[in-house]
Amino acid sequence: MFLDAVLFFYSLEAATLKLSELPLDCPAKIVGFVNQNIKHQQGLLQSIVAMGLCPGCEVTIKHVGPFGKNPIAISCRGALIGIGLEESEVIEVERTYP
Amino acid sequence: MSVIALVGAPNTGKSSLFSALTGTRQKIGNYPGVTVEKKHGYLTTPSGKKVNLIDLPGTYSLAPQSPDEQIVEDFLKGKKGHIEKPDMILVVIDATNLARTMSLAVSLKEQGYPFMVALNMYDLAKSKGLKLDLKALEKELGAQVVPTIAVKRDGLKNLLLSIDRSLRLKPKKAQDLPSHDWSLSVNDLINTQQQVDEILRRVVRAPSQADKVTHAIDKVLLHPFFGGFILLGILFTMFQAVFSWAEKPMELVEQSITALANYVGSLLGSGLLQSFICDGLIAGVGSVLVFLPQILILFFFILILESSGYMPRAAFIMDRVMGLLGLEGRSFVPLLSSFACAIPGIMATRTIGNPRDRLLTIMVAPLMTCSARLPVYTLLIGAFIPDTTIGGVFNLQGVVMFSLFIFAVISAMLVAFTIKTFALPGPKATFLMDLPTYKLPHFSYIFMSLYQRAKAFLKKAGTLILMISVVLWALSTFPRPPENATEAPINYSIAGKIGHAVEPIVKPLGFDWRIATGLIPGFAAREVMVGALGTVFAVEDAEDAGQALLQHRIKSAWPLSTGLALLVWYVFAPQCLATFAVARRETNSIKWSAIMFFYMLALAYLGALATFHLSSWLLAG
Repeated sequence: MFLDAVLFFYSLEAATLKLSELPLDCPAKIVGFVNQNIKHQQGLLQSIVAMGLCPGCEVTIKHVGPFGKNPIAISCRGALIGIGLEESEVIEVERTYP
Repeated sequence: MSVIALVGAPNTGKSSLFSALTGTRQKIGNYPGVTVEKKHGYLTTPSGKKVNLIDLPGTYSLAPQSPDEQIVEDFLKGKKGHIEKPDMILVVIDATNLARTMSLAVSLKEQGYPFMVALNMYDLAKSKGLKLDLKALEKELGAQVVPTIAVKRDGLKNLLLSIDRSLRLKPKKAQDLPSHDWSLSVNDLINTQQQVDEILRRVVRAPSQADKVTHAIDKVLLHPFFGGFILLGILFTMFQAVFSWAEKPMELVEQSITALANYVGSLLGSGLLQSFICDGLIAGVGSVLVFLPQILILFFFILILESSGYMPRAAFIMDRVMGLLGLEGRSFVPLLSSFACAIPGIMATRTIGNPRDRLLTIMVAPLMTCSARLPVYTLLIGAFIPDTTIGGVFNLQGVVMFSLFIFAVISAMLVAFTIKTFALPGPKATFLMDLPTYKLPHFSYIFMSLYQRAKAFLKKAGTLILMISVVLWALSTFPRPPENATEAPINYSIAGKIGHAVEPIVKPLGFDWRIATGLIPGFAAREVMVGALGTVFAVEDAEDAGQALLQHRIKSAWPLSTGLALLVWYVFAPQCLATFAVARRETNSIKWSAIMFFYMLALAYLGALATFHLSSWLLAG
């Protein structure tokens, strides 16, 4: 029973969420971008990918700014990257459980 | 001569490698049509080939997001009059951060450019446990890979030998040559990153361990609550140190100058020559030289913050505060540099991708309290503010100084907000920046930079300020007073006449003709005002202009409200023509540099006017 409940909540958690919604210190994996094909967003997405944040990467929020999750510092591919709210809102992640 | 372009992501040690390779044979210019600085230098390979090495701006990818990164693309595509097409590209990769810095090399390979790789900071990566199959990496990239440690000048010889080898290679077949016609979409970039990961899976035998020290330090310095206070504490310490640490060396410089003036004066006897040497030359340059210790201490702090890796963290902490007033976190670093001098600060805005935010930052940078204001502030605060302790800890003079800094910052934010709302509406810029691992600053680098600062400052004091001192001495000495003069000699001189002529304009601010006389040469450089006042007062009394004596004279000559008004004038006044020259170059717009000049002048006049009348009224009541 209890295990079922835990698994049920895990399945809810496994749903896609925005990077900005990910809790602190929880590992996750980038699965894609919101509105990837909208034209005016290409510049933003290019900057994000150029910084090394792309689908398949493991990310964890390591620090948050003094005024909440804007900006956040995430670890990704062995580096620490500062990223603002507007940017973290377009990154879709899935939580991973070790 | 062969042309080699040096490219790489920010923080890979590209600039150290450039310095190590070219040494003193560097040249700095501008790219045609744009305002990005162009650095290049010459080197000779072991086989005697001369190479022109061009240091391109740091970039993460070949999809440009800022004017800096655009330069890299234009250069590689041979656009905009970049005549020197590179024969080869030298890509710098950070061995401690392979996954993030290797995509440039992969993109260059895809586009068919001939390149080779300097694998920098290889020692650091190995000490963190990285084991790499270099031969396999060379095969994957189709290019030579040479491990280097630029700051220790390690691996340079191998790098030069490899450059020789690469340059000797025959040109490729036509279909392998770079197309010069590419543009990378988001999917292309993702593809490149995935290739990087695949390559790394094949060549990395053991990955480097995560930097636990950096994480532990960041737990404190990036703490959501305490981080901001620590930042404020660091800035406050910095400004207190500028005052208390500098006190002794300043006294020493001052005493030496007074002693020199007295000694030279006693040799020459009294007369026009003695007045020229002692009151013109020695007093003028000496009263500026005295501030060298303060400037060095300030730069020492800024250099440590920069090279330790704290600066981007400060931007991280400040992003929201800056954002509230229309600037971005990245503006914080250029603005903090502007506390030393607005000129390097304005040049540092090149890292801001969004053109609007860049312009905004340039517009407010000259409001930051630059080191040239310190001599004026120190003189006036020393003269008008009592040297007492308040609250048991804080020196009142230090508190006033700190308040002037804060006042300038708040004003800058209000100006930015105003310009943003009324002149430049637009969306917020992106916030994406590397927070590099903490590094112990290389003290050889810091002292080298400090030495260059000192040299630049002394050169300025020795040429521009010396010239102005002499001109001012001449202006305030000639024409000589008549035989039966009843007033002070300066009243008969040209300077006195100019000062008197300007006096009606500045009278509502509580300024007299002596301040007006000092303000005019002060437009060349703010700190000249101190020398000018020194000359004006020394000539008037025919005595030497020791700092304490000058402060004493000022205090007895002007009321407190005039002193406060003059301080506020100096917070805003556009009294540095070099700043406007740089702003004109960086914004590429006469209009914006003119707006900058006149808004500062208007704020200075109105601010001083309000301060003078308000403080007169308060002090009387």
